[in-house]
Amino acid sequence: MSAQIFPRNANALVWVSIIGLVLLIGGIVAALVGLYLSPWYTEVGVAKEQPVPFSHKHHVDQLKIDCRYCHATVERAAHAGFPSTDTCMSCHSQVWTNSPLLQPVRDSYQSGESVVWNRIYDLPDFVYFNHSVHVAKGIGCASCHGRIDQQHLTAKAQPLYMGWCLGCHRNPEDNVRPRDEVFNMAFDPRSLPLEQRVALVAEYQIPTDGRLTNCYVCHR
Amino acid sequence: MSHGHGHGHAAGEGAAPESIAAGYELADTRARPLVIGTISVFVLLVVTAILMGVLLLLAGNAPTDLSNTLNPTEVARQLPPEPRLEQNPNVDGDRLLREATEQLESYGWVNERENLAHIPIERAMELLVERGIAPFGTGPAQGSGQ
Amino acid sequence: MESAARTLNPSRLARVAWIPLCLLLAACHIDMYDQPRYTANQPSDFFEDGRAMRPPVPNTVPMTDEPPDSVMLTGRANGELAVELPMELTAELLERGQTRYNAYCAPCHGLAGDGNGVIAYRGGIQVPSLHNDRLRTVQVGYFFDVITNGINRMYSYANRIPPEDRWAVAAYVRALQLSQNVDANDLTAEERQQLGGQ
Repeated sequence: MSAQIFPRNANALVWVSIIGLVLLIGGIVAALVGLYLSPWYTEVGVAKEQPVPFSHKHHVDQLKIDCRYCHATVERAAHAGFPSTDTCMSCHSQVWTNSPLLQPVRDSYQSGESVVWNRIYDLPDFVYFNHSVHVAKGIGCASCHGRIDQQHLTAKAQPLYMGWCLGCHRNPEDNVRPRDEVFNMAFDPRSLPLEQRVALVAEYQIPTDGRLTNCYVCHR
Repeated sequence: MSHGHGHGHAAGEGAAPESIAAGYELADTRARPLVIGTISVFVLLVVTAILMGVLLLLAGNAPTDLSNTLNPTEVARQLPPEPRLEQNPNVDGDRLLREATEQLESYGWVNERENLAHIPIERAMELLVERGIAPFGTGPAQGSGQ
Repeated sequence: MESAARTLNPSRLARVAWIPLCLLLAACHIDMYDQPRYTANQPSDFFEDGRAMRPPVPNTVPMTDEPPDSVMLTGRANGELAVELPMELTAELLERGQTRYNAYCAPCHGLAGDGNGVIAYRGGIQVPSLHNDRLRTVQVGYFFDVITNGINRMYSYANRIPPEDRWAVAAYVRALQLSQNVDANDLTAEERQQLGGQ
């Protein structure tokens, strides 16, 4: 009687605990990885609220406006250039002049206060991304921004993880396209045969000796 | 062994008499139901996924972007007769670009009586490089809209 | 008893083994992610207008080789609209002008310069054609001037198109005009064939 004897179901409890613990830990890890890759964390495909519900689909796909009309410094500067109120008003002083949706833009034009848009692509400050070099080397807008010409409301197309950057920096031939197709959203680089893309990489002098994966290329 | 178990269960919870006699639990665990249970959970997951795939296939409507599912030719076919307000901005935009591009890539008469023609823009650029800018516009800008 | 407890007792160690996990909390800084410096278009609570990007102070002179009153930057020589480009007219310049024209001008003026751009069509705006006698004979500096300062309902494009590109566009407009209004006698016999008719 005084012997310490576990009840019969104790054996089962041991197994249940062991298996349960393994499943729990596995589940937690899987859930964390899933969260890390999910739109909830990466904001891919999640449109943010903006002062004006601007539609790239309308302006780019339907009205055929070139990217550079608004993002004017994309070929010259690190920053693609966010359109000023003046840029909006160069058309909307004539078109849709009574739309309540555009009231914030008209207010901004009159008062001189900026329209405060919410940033969609927010790289960490320790990454130095330069639009102009990518455009000059034949990387199209759509390679990173996806088919933004099909988005009614603007959302991220990529999580912007470093592994994704490196994928292209290791194999630029996967995404390179002729320079005159850079702003063509519908162009698919893979419609070109691999040899042609490799030739483009050579022609545009994109380094293939591994320099592009050095830390200081992006982190300075 | 199984006999012992059966007996133990019949006697309710608590250790078997053999174990009490020995001073420690003699019965070994039965891992099989647990392993089978765990495996069946995963099998069920896979089966569910397959089942869902099959159902979606049978239902036949994969989730699609409904905003502009018609291709331009279909839309053009469905348009009511003119005159009409703009029905499909994509079609109109494409048409304007196509017409302008054709105009810029072809030879044709602008005014045959006055011997004026339009030529492809590439050719015009060559001609302009040959002739230079200055000969074209030296006159004053009459009423330049100031 | 007490001294025994103070020695390295495995179970006692196990009880505090979770403490290193606190380091995970320390990793949740974002001060490298959002560094205390301004990037383009960032809001600022330091400057009065709330913008990190500063407009140049009035009368700022661009840092170029060109003097501020040069033809390159004003489109005028001695107050008169320039009749010649301030640079050499080359095929590359015209191609450059073509890409600029198609990006910035074509939405309204149309790819062919006939005032039938997609925006003009959609917005119901009357956009003047570039193919008329007044604009065909006007000085090339006029186009530069219009792009730089705007005209009528057209806004200035000076903040979006750098001066060199404005000249490229002006030159391309000349090519556009020529392409739609060329004397057939200037064409080769082969080209006249393609005109059809006659």
